[in-house]
Amino acid sequence: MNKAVVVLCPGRGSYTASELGYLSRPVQAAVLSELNAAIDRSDGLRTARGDLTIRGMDGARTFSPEFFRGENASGLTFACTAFDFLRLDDTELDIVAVGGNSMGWYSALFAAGVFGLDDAFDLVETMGGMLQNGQIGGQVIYPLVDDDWRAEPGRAAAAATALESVREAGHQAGWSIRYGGYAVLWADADGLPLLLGELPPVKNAEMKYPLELPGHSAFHSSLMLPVSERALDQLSSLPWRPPSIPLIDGRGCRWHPLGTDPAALCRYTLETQVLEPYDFSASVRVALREYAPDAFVLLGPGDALGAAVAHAVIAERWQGIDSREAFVERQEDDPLLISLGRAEQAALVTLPTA
Amino acid sequence: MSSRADVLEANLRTLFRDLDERPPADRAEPVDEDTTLTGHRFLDLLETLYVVRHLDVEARALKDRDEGYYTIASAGHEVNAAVAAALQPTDPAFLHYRSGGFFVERARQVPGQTPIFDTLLSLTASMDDPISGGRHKVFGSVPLWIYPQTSTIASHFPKAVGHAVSIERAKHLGLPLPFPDDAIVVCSGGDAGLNHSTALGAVNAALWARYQYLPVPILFVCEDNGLGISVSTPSGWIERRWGAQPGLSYFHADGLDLAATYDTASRAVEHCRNRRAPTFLHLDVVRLLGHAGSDVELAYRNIEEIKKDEARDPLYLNTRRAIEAGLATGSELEALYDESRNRVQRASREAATRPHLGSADEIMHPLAPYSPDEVRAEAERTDYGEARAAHFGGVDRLPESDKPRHLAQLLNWGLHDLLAKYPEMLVFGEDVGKRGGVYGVTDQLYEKTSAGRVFNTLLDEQSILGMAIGAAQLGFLPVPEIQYLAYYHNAEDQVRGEAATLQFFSRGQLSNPMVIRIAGWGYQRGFGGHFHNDNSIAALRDVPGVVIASPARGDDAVGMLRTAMALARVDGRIVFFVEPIALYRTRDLVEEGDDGWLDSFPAPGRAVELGRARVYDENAGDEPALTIVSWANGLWRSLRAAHVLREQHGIGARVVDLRWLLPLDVETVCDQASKTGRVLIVDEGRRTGGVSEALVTALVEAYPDRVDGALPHIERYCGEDTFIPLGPSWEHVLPNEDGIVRRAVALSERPVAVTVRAEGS
Repeated sequence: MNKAVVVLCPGRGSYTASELGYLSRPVQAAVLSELNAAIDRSDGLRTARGDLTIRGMDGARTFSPEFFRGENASGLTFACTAFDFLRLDDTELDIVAVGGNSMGWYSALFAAGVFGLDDAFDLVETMGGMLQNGQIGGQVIYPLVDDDWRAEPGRAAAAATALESVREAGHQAGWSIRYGGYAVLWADADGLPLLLGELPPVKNAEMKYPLELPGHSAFHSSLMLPVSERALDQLSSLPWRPPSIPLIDGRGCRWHPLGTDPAALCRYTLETQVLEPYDFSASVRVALREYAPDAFVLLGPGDALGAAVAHAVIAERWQGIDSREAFVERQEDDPLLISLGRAEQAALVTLPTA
Repeated sequence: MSSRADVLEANLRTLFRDLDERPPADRAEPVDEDTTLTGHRFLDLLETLYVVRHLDVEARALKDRDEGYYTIASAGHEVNAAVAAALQPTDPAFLHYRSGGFFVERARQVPGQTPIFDTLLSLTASMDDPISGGRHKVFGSVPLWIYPQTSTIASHFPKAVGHAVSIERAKHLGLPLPFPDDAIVVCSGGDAGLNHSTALGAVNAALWARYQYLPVPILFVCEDNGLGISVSTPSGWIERRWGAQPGLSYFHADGLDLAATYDTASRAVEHCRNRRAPTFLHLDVVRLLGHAGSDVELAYRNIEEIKKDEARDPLYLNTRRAIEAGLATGSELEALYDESRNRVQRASREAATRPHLGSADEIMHPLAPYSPDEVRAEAERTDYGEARAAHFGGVDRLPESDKPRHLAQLLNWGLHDLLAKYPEMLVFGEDVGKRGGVYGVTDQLYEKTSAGRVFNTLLDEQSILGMAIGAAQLGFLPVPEIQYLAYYHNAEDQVRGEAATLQFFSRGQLSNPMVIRIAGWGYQRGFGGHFHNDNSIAALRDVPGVVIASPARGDDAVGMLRTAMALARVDGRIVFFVEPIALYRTRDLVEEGDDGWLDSFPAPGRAVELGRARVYDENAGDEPALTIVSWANGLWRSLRAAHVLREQHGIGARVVDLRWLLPLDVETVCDQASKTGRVLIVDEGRRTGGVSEALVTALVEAYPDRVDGALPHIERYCGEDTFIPLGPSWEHVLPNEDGIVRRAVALSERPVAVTVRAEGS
C-alpha cells in the first residue's frame, strides 16, 4: 500500500545561502521541462521589470541579502518548491493533503492543482512584489521552546506582554504566524524596534533571538490591507478552480476538491490569509488528526519547516513522539518528516535521477 | 457472511459505478430550482455523510478488536448534518446520540476542528478525548457549543428549554451572553424518546412560557426513524401529536434528503431566530445498522423490512442525487468515499494507541472540585455594600441591625442579601414570587429585584431543575426551590443524571452550579401528612459530588447559604439546601418565651465552613457523659433533651449539630466522641438508608485512626422505615425528646474504657 503523505510547502526566508544551486540538482529531464518553461517565462517578465532573475539568483556563486527581498525571495522560493514537488515519486506516494506556511500557501495552491505553473508564478510574483516599493512594518521570530523543544515557561506570556507594551505605546503589533514552537510576531515600523526591545533576549543553540526577519513586512496583519486590495484587484481574474488534492489552510480549514467554491478560495487567499494571522501549527494539527498521514513530505528550499512541524507533532504526542529525543530517534528509524532539503530523505520519496 | 454495513456499502459501490454520468453542473448554483443549497455545500455535506458512516463502521471494528466501547450509530440520521449547516456554530446544541452528522458538519464551520480524531478518541474511551477525557462516548465540544449529553433519551430537553429561556432572560437583565444575541438553542431527539415525560414536560414548559408571550428561542428536532430499539412508533404519530400544537411552529421534511432538510431547517431556524418562539422540526429518517452493534435486528424485524430501510440509506439517496444532478461523477464520489474511509481508518489506528484513565483519582478528579481558600474568601466577601444598601432600602435598614428573628426570616434576609451580592443569582420555583413562598421564605424577593430574577415556574420539578441547569450553563447562579422534599423525587434524574454529571463528563470544562433549596423533614405536628413531612434524603445522598446542607437555626442557615453560593460560584458545585419546615418559625428552645431559637442576622463576612459541625456545650458540664449528634429537627430536640438531662438527671451531654450532611464532619464527631466514649445519634430520617448509617460507618472507620482505644458506644435513634401518617399519630414514627432522654440515660450507664487521643489529632 502506498504511503499516505501530507505535503507541506515552506514560506519565504527558506532560501538561504545553502540553497544556492537548488534548481541545478540532478533530476529527471521530464520533470524539468515544464518547470524550465515556466521559469523562463517568469524570468523574462522579471528582466523586463529590471529585477534579478530566478536562474541568476539560484546560479550565483555567492548569496546576496537582496535575495531576501520580497520581489526576489518569493519567486525563488516557489521555483524551488515546485522543483521539489515535480520530482516526487507519485507511484509510491498517496498525497492525501497539501498545506504550507505563509507564502507556502501559494505554493500549496500549485501543488494541490489549483493553478498550473504559469498562473502560480504570476500569483507568487505579484504578491511578492507588492511591497517592492517599501516595507510595511516587519516580522520578528521568537522561540517559545528551549533547545530541547520543551515549552519554556513564561515565554508565551513574555511575548504577550511585549505585544501589549507595543500597543500601549500607541503602535500596532500582533501575532503574524503560529509556527510550532516559534512565535512570529508583527509590528508597524515604529513599533518594531520597541517589540525587539521588549522581548527578553534568548540564545538558543544556533541563533540569538528575537530575530527580525530581513526584508519581511508585517505579513498576515491588518497593515496588509493595501496589499489585499491590490491583490483582489489584480489576481481575482486568475483561473481559480478547486484543488485536485485537499488543501489545509492557515486556519486549519480544509478545502476539498468537490466542495471548494473557487471564489471562496480566492477570497481566503487574497483577503483572509493576507490580513489574519497564519496558524501553521493549526494546519499541521488538522493534517495529523484528520488525515493521519504515514509521513509529512516537506518540500524545499531548505529544511526550516522541519522544526515547526516537529513541534506540532510533539504537541500532539503523535505516534508516541513526545519529545525531541523521541522525534530524533523516530527520524532515524522510519522518518515521519521527510524533508526534500535533505538528500538522504529526499531519496525516499523522489523519482530516481537516472 | 457480510454484515448489513457491507450491504449498504455494496449498494453504494453499485451506484458509483453503474450510474450514467451527467453533464457537469455549475456547483456554485443551487442543486436544483427547489433549493438554496449550492452544489459545493451539497458535496461538503455528502463528504460529512461518508465520514460519519465510516466512523460508525469503524466503531464496530474497534469493538471487535476490543479497542472500542460504543457502537450506537448515526446511520440513517446522517442528514442532521444539514440541520447543523442551517445553524450557526454558536447556537448551543443539546443533541441525542445519533448526531454524528451534526457534529462533523458543525466542526467544518469552526476553523481548526478535528471531528474524525475527536470522535475516535471518544469511541476508544481515551484520556485524550477532548470532551470527557474518556469518561463517556458522547458528541460534545466546548468550541462547537455542543453540550455533552449524558441523556440517553430525552432528559436533556428540560435543560435545553431552561437554556433557551435563560438566553432571553440574560438579555433582559443586561447580562453578557457568551454568543451572539440572536442565538437559538437546538435540542434533538427521536420519535420514541419524544414520548418520555422529560420531553413532554419540557415542550409543555416551553409552550407555557410562550403562551404568556415570553420568548423561548428553542428548536426541537425530532429525527423520526419510526423505532425505539425494537418498538415501532405508530405511523403518523409524530405529525399527529406535534403538528398542530398551538404555540409550536411545526416544520416537516424528508430527513433523508440533504437539500430538503437544509431548506426546511433553514426556514425553521430563521423562524425560531427571528420570532424567538418554540419551533419543531420533524425529520423523517431511517434507522440503519440496528439500535447498536449488539442489537440483532432480525430478532424482531424481518429481512424485507430491513432491506426496505436500507434502500433508503441517505448516503445512497444523496449520492444518486449528486450524480444525477451532474455535481460529480460516480468515480469522483467513490474516490471521496474511499478517501473518507482511509482517513478514518488511519486516524483510528492512532486513537487506539492513546492511554486510558489510569486511576480512581484521575477518573474522579473533575467530579467534585473544592478550593477551600477561594470558597471561604468568596463566602466571606463583603464588597457589595452599595448594592446591599440599595436592596434593603438604606444603610439604616440592614437586617443585622434588626432584632433576633426566626429561621424563616433569617433565610429570607439571607436570600435578599445574596441577591444583592450576586447580580447573576436567580430565585424560582412554585409560589416563590408575589406569594413569597408558602412559608414566606421568599417574601419580597420578587418586589425588591429587577423583573426576571425572581419568578414562579409551572408545576413541574423536572422543568424547575431543567431551568436551573440551563440557566447555570449560561452563567446564572440559580437558586431553585423545591416546595416540599417529597416533590423532589419525581424529578431527581435532572440532578442525578444531568446536573451532577456535567463536570464529570466534560472533564471540568463545563459546569452547572446551583443551590437547590428544599423545604423538608417532618415534625409539622400532624399537618400535611407524608407529602409535607417527607423525612428521607436518601435520593439526595446518592448523587456523587453534591453537597447537602441542613441548618437547624437562622444564623447557621445564613452562613451556610453564603458558603453554598460560594461553592457554586467558585467550584461549580451543586448544593442541596434542606430547610426544616417545622423550625421555620420556632422561637423558643427550652421553654415558652425564652427566644432561645432566635438569632441575629450575621453581617456579610461571616460564613459557615463546608463540612464544619457546631458543638453545643451549655449542657455538657465538666464531664459530659455522652455526645449527642444530630441536625435540623433532631438537633433542636436534642438540645431540649440535653437541658432535661442536666436539670433532671445530672447527666452532662455535649450536643453536635452536623449542619452539613454531605460531607460529614467526621473529624469533629470522632473528637467529641472520644471525650465521652458514648455517642447517641438522633436521626429524624429513616433507620434505613439515612444519614445515621453513614455516620456510624464513618465513626467505625475513622475512629481507630484518630483515637487510641476502644470504639465508643454508638447508638442510633431514628425515624421508622415508614411513610409519615396524617394527624397526631405521626409522633409514633419519629424521634422525640423523651425518647432522646431515655436513651441518653441508658447510654450514660454503659461503662467506657479510658480513651487517649492520638497525637496531633
